[in-house]
Amino acid sequence: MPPFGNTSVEIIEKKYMNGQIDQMDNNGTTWSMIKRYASGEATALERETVNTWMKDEVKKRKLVEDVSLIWNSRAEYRIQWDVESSWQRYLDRYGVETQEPVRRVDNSGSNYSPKIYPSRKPSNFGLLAAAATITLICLVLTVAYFHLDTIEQEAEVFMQEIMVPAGQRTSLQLSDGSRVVLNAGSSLRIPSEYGKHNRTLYLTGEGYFDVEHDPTRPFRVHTGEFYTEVLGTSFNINAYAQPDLGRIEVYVSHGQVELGNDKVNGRRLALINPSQLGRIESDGMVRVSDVSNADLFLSWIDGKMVFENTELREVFSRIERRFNIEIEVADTTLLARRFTGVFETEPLTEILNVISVSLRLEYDRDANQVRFHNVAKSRDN
Amino acid sequence: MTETIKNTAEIKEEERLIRLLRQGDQFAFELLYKKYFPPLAQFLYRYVHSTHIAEDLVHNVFYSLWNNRDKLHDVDSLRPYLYRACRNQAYKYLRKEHETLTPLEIMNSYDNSHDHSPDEFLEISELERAVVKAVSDMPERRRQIYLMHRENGLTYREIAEVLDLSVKTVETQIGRSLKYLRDKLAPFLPILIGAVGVLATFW
Repeated sequence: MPPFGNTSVEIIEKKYMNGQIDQMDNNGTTWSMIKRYASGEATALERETVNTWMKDEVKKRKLVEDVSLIWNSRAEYRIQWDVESSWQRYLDRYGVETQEPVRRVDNSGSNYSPKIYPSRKPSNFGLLAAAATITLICLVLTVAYFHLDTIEQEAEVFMQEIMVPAGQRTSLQLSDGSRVVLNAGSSLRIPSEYGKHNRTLYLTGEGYFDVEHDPTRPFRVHTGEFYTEVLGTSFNINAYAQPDLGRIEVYVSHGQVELGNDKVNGRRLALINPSQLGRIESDGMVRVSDVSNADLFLSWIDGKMVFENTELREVFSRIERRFNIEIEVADTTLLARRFTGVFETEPLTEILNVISVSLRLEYDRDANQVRFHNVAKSRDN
Repeated sequence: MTETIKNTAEIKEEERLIRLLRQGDQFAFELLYKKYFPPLAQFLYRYVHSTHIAEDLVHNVFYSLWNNRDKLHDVDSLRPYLYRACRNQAYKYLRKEHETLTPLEIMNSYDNSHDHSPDEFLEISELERAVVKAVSDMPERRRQIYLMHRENGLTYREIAEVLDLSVKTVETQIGRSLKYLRDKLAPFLPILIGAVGVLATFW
């Protein structure tokens, strides 16, 4: 006999099995509503209905939680589809004549210029000309163009933008008391109406957020087409637009965040709990994993760099940003090698030396340019 | 009420692209290709179990799309059109390769048991691994519907259209798949210990 004397859960499930999918129970909660609740497709009224239905009833809450977990787990392995090359192969096969690829990434180096200018040929996408005058956040993916239209519509208000150049970190407090720490090479845009009915921000790069709890004003950080939403919590978002990595990571230290995709009806992709990392790959798939070493994701706030079997590709990226230098490699296979180490206040030279020694590499340095290569075999000794 | 409510901005954007496509705008075509390639290729992969062939078949579909662009009517018809076309391509290919397959057998080949990636295993939780297994154990029709909805993001109506079923059937199958998964995954789903954790989740 169910401990709570209420068999609605079983009744609902049974009705569903019999195809009576819309049979009402209690206040109108149905199985389809629960499923929509779990997958983020429910309307506000439906969410309200389900919340009321399961309030104070452990079994009901468990049902909804289970469905959420099931729905939000990756039920399948996804293949990494390389869209760009498949498009090239399509062109090779069927010879559709192309327009020139006119996506230009502007890394002019000046600290306060917009990062990316998408531009197009005779444009039926006229808004993009206007887009050049507004600083936009884009991942360098074609898919982002769908999102541009939405941003354009949202961006009629004033935006305050904070850009952090390479080699620096910035921390700031927002009008509602939430605090943000921004890492090198990051930017944060804050609409003028931040805090009125909700708290919306746009981030590129990396930021750590310590959010004031306020259920009446959802806190949401947009990074490209994805968003991270919370009520009150502390979490770190790493969303550097890196063409070869192309992913977003959200690490939660306190509370819980929802990771979602703006493009698909604000569709929730995952819930991330403390000491978990949510990672969105370049194909849009989400993985949530448990993390034992918070330092891996938060050390930058204190100026530390922690690497744990990290690919040099990423090690070098972080060093570049931290010290505002450029690192090249003689051989791209070097980028896949892995390094483990922690740096706190060591000067750049020492860091480079440690990496060299530990991976048997050598480097040449010329002011802000560093070049790593394998230990030269033919050496005059 | 039983379907995903599409984001209106997204609908407008796609309507615009389709309009442009009809006029022969190659860039609109490219954008549609890049938007739909991953889910369509994934859908085809489940039939043909090869990324190369899946890609080839998607190419066929888009080539057709380009040649028939003036016959496109409205947004609602694009997604089902593409998935139906892919399904037809899959059937054609499988029949050609294995002449003796019946349509039922072709449908049954739609599964997720060919996804193997050793490095991915390291990052997948127990629950997720169990979900994969449970999904692959589902009856074929239910599994296909579940994957098309969950993985390809098709609405119930679109799935019904592509697979020639009623919307009600589709919804029932989704419901049953959830019940099925919940039963199968019971050992892996966390036990509700205190109210606090859950309150934080849902309030």
